[in-house]
Amino acid sequence: MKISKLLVATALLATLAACGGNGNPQAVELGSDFTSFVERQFAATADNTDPVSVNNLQFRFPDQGNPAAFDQLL
Amino acid sequence: MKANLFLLGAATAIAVPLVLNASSHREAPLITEMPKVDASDFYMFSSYEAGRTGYVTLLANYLPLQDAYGGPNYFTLANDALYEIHIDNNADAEEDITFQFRFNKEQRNITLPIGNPGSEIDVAVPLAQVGTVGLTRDATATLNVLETYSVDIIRGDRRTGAREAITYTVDGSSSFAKPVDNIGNKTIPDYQAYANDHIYEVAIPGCGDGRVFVGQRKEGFVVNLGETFDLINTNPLGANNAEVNTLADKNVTTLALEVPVACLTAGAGDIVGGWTTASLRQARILNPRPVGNGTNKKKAAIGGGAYTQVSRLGSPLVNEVVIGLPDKDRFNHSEPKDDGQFATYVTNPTLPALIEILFGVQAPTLFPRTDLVAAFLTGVDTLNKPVGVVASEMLRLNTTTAAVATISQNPLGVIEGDAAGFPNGRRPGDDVVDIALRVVMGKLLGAGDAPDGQLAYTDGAYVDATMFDVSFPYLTTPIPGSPN
Repeated sequence: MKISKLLVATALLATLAACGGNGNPQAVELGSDFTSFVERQFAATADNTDPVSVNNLQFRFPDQGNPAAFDQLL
Repeated sequence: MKANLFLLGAATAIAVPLVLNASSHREAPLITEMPKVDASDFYMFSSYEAGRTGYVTLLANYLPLQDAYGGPNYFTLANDALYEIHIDNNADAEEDITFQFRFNKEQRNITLPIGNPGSEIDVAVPLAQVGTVGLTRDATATLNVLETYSVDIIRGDRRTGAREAITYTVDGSSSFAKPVDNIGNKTIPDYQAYANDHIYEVAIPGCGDGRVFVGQRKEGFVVNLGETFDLINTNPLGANNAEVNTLADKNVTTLALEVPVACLTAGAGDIVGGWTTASLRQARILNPRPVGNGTNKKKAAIGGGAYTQVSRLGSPLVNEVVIGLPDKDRFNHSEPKDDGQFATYVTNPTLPALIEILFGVQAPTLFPRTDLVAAFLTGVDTLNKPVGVVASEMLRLNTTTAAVATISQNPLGVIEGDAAGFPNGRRPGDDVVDIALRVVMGKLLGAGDAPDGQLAYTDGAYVDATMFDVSFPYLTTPIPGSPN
């Protein structure tokens, strides 16, 4: 299980929204499901989109033990 | 006593990275985890190569602290990143022109037939090359990994502005080859000639002709890094050549552009501001089962979401010497138009106080430090301060200042009378460490505000323009990985 967790490691490169200057952050609900959040980001990969603010989000991590959680994105 | 100990502790934690984690190498917590997009130095100067009057050279260095022997993968750039050089030509602290570089890495999976005669199996080799590399960019047969890149010029907002491709003047191609790193003299017997064949004459839409090169170079930043990290364990008032340049055995990867002056100024004014950034997709997923071969390849990591800036560099040493530890990541993710949030670090800087604690010299007593506002945020009056400038951190160049030939350049730039040097732009031979030390200690102030402001502060690692090439891309041939 421990290995699985490591293998599934996902990283959200999101310090950014704090950057205070990238335009109009999209509205994202509090208590956001991390897996769903990442899936939404992958669905919005146009080059002219702005990063999403994450400073006010409290993520839940329902797939910490599920190494296949993101297979559909790979 | 307690306060002094606290300050000394702060000096340990902050001062050292400040002054000298090179110009901007690994200067913020997050960027240490992603070296491929770590901008380490940015240069912008009127070209001083013979016959290139009327051009500006832009150099953005990434992926610092490369050991030349770092095979077998060496130092490729990130395929999933945007590497950008921004120009503000109307002093509003927003980019008007962006040169955007994107890289592509082709893994060719060269195989060798291995096994008993008649029953060999084709097996992929583990190395980046399988033989000697020729002298031209087309001689790629022995290379197992090929890197190419494109460069777009974007006018307006970096993400939504008008985009056009920069093309090779000979065949109109928008794809350029990046030379493999200097693996060693057996693989690449004449790296200088090989690399020079990767300098392209290019057509820049709306600008005319220019030149582009991306590839490994010998690290151009000069600093006495080790002793500086050790609580500045050197004499900052000693000879300016008494110490070792600890980066002398390192390479770096340079994105180089030479652009007509009129392209950058675009009729908006003679003074331009420049800075470089790198951005990655906001989300990243690590693949537990990557597939590197066959028809259904799956990468080891993929990114998704909007491009998110993770590295920023204009003037050297700012995120080291000026910005406090809690805000270093924030600075890297920020844009110049929002620099008001960092103003306190400039008006009330900590570095002079730390130097005072460590060495007993007296720090300037003027607050707010208006001299540093000019040095870091607006440009210097009558030299490179644009009319109506919005205070913001970037490297500013007055394009009407005549370039100075290599032999006549003063490494201390403007403070020693060479108006074409830092902080009026930055050339490879400018000793920005010594300049920064002197300016923060009050070089630009009177004795009443800076009692020790005229001392010749130095890190002891010497640099001047003769240590670099006299032609584009100026930074020199990288150190080979072999022989040792």
